[in-house]
Amino acid sequence: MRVKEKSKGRSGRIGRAASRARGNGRRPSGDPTWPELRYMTDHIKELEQYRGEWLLIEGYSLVAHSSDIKVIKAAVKRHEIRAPFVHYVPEHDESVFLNLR
Amino acid sequence: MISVNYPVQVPYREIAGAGLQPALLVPLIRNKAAARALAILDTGSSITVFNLEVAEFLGIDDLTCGERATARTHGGLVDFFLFDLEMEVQLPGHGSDRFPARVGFLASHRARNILGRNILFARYQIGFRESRQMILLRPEH
Repeated sequence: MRVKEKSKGRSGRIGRAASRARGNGRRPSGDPTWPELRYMTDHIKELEQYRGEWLLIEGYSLVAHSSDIKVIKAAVKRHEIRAPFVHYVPEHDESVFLNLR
Repeated sequence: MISVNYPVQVPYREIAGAGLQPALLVPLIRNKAAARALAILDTGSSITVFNLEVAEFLGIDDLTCGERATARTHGGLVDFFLFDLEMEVQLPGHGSDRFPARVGFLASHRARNILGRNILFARYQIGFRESRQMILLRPEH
């Protein structure tokens, strides 16, 4: 199991997103582009190396990656991230579509 | 002839391990817990389901507390459990839309989160402009 923490991330941004999601009256600025998605787009080739692992991305940072979700949970708690964005990078042989019907 | 004016366009997203997909990052809220998940718009799925791990981040420790259901996939039957929570969609130039949603969580790990027709497709008219790799949305409400 590989475990690595890349940076501390920006928990404040996630906190704001969570607050917004809870409907505290603040609305997004109109730019819906999440920094986490921008990070994923900008680092798409680099992230290929993490197949079979979970990524914890916060703001424009990869905070942690691990094949063990418990490690990711611990990182979420340690960084006090209130609305974590956790993404699983599928292995090559994993089905990417469920085709639920 | 039916013509639809879609006021919202959202580009397809690069997803690590899956390539360019018509996906949205959706916050899910349950009581005081929140999590965000990247999910693919799937017209072939009648249900909306997320990974087991998303449920755990929402404080759902025991999936069997939800309503049990079964879905048919190419790989056979899969169990999932339904929970009432809130979902949010952020729309370019139109702010955010937060609404109650009955969402399924898969009992076993899967590589994808799926936005099926039962929630978002009922709330929006949705089109796909594949040549431009854009999701087109028009609120129904």
